[in-house]
Formats: sequence, C-alpha cells, structure tokens
Amino acid sequence: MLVEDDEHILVLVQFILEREGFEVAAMADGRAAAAHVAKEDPPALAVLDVMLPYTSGFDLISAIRSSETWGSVPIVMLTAKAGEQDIVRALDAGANDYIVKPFQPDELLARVRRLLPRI
Amino acid sequence: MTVIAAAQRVTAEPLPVRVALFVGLAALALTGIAAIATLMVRLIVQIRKRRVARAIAKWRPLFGEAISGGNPVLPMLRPKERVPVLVLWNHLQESLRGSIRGTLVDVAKTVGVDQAARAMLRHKDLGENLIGAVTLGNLADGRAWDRLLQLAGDDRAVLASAAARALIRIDPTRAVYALAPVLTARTDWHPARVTSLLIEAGGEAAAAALTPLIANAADADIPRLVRYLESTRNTTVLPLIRLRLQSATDPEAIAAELHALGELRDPTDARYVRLLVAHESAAVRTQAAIALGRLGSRDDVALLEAMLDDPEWWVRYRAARALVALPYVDNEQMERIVRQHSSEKARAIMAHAIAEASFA
Repeated sequence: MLVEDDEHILVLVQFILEREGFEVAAMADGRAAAAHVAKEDPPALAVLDVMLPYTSGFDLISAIRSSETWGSVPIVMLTAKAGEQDIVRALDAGANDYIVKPFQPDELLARVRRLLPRI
Repeated sequence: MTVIAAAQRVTAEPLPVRVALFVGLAALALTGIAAIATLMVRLIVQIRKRRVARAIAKWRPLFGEAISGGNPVLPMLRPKERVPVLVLWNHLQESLRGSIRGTLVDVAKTVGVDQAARAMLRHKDLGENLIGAVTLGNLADGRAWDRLLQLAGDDRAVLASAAARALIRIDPTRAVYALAPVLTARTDWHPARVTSLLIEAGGEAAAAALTPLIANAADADIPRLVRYLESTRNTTVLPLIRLRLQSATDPEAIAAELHALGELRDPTDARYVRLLVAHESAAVRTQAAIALGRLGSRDDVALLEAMLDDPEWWVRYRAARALVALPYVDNEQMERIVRQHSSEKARAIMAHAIAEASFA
C-alpha cells in the first residue's frame, strides 16, 4: 500500500515500485487509506506520507498496528527533511523505517526490499 | 411582422413605459452577455485543464521511466506543453536527490526544456518568468546569466528572489558576489529568504562577499546586514563584527552585533560582551545576557546574577535563562539564587526560568 497526497510523487513512487515488480495499491488521502486498512487484506508493506488529508500518517500507523490482520505489516514513512521530530514520532508509533524527502529512488527500493523478507 | 407590430406598440406607449422597457431589454442583453462570457471562461479553463492533463499524461511516464533507470524514447517538448511540463519537471527535480537529478537534467536538455526556460525568461507573463528562472536554476544552466541578473533586480520581489536563487544554483560563488549589493539593498525581501539564499551560496563565499559591504554600511542598515553575516555561520566575519562593535553607537546595531557574537560562539568574545551588560539600552543588555549565556565562563555567573535585578523584564528573563543553561551553574546554585538573592524580582524570574527549563 502506498499513501501520498502529492499526486506527482504518488505516481512516481508507484511507477518505481511497479517497475520493480511490486503490485501497488495507491491512495492520495488518509481517509481512503484508513478505509482500505479496515476492509482489505494486508499488503506486504505500507509506505505512508506523514502529512495526509483527513487522517495523518501517524493515525494510519496506529490504525495498522491496532488491526488484527494488518498489525505486523512493515511500515516505511515518507517524511520531510525538516521534520526530524516526525521521524521520532513515527518510529515511536510503530513505523519500521523512514525515508526523508527529497528522496533517492534507489534508497526507497533498498529500504522496501530490506523490510520485505521479514514477512 | 410580429416584431414590427411589437415595435409599433412600444412606440405608442407613454415615455416612462418605453424607458422601462428599454432598460429591461438592456438588462436582459447584459445578462446574456455575462452568461456567454462565463461560459467562454469555463470553456477556456476546461481546454487548458485538458491540455495540462494531456501533457502530464504524456510526460510523467517518460520522466518516471528515466528515473527508474529506463531509456525512454523522448519527443521534443512542444510550446503548448512547456508550462505544465516544466512545473512537473521542477517538482520532480526538487522531490528527488542524488545522481538521479543529473539524469533528469540530461532528459530535460534532450527534449529542449533548457531552450523553453530561456524563452520563458523573456515572456511578458510573470508566471512564465518564474517557471523559467526556477528551471534554469535546477538545470544549472548559465546561458541566461545576464537576463537572470537583470531579473534579480526586478521590482517584483517574488521574481527577483527566484532569479537570485537560480543564479546561486548555477554558480554559487560568482552569484553571491554579483548579488551581494542587491541582497543587502532589498529591504522588501524577507530576511529568512535572504539568509536561505546565503546559506545555499555557502558560508565562506557569502561571508567574503558581504564583508566589504558591511564595512561601509550606514548604522541603520547594520542590524539587518549583521543578521545576514551571522547566517553564514562563518567565523571569518568575527574580526569585522568585533571592530564594528567597538565603534558602534546605535543600540540596534550593538544589539545585532552582540547577537552575532553569541551565535558564532567564540568564547574569547565574552570580553566584549561583559563591557555591555550595563549599557543604557535594554535591547543591548538583553542581547548581552543571551551572549554571555553562550560565551561566558564560571566568572560570568556573578554578572548574570546581578542582571537578574535589571529594571527590564526581558533582561532579567534572558539572564535567568542564561544561568539555567550555563554548565557551571548546578541545581543547588540555582536553588540558592531563588532562596537567597537580595532582589524579589530576581528570585521570581529565576524560579520562572527553572520551571520553564523543567518543561523543555
């Protein structure tokens, strides 16, 4: 699952992940993502932006970690360069890793790959 | 026939009725024109939106493929595509870091983004100028250097600062020397914008370019210029600040220079700060307390304790905060001040600062 409210970045990250062979469920806001968490089967990994419309990335972490089926899904957060406190908060809330924006596509893929074998 | 008959009937009516009819018809006609104009505007907006969507749908996968390591077949950029595509390209460029940015630059040059950006700098529209300037900065394309330098002096601050940023991205050292007189003269630019440009240009180059300007600046300009100098975080500017501090008479300038000394953190500068703890201006005494908190030694604890009894609340507060932050003052000493200082104001402000620090 990929949740990012910046349309260009959403499409770009989706493109990068799909090109690597991943199947991506992309969403542009927190409310759609929360509904997805409640209704759908868990994915192999979730990439979440911190700042999202309606429901923040932190709230999504809580929703995922408190879900019976999604609870163990690895989470990678996308955070702004200036938001160091967001990184601490996200890791405390249960995120497994983070990527700082501006980001390197290779780094994103490496972090995704690193977390996938855990499943 | 019906129209003629109607017209004959109208002309036979009394004058007030005719006037009312004409006014009514005119209002109807104006309403119709307004409705047509609204529809036209909506149509134009729709056409533009569709054009933007088509351009994005065409170019985003191409950029995505290039970013993912692919080798897409790249068409040349069409004039009508340039605004949405350059906005997209800049957005991607500023969202990514590392070598992939170089790949995006190569793609842009292949499809003619650089030519489009240079053409946009000459356009009458402010939006096109801005996109052109930002693009040339991200491309590090110096072929429009003179035009960008001209735009950096534009009356519209938004365009001028975009052009200045582009120049700094193209050649930081050359740009900061060329822009220093502009940066220091433009009071309409937000100081945070100027300091971010100076930081982007690099502390050493910015400090070297600003130093001669500050040496000859009027007292009134000093507080702003010293803040810029301080933002370079470069200690090579310290001799100049010390020199200015020794000869300055304007309290605003002295306060700015004390602030800069505190920020640049050379402990030997505490000797200049000590001389100003009893200055007649409260702004100076406040900055002296802050600077002493950053530069002071064990010997300055007594000076700061004395400042806790200053008539000005801000001076007392800053002195108390400095005492709480100083590594030489332990909890026992702070509690002693709260209990035993001869001044009630001092005891109160110290208790306030301790409480504040406990919540930090």
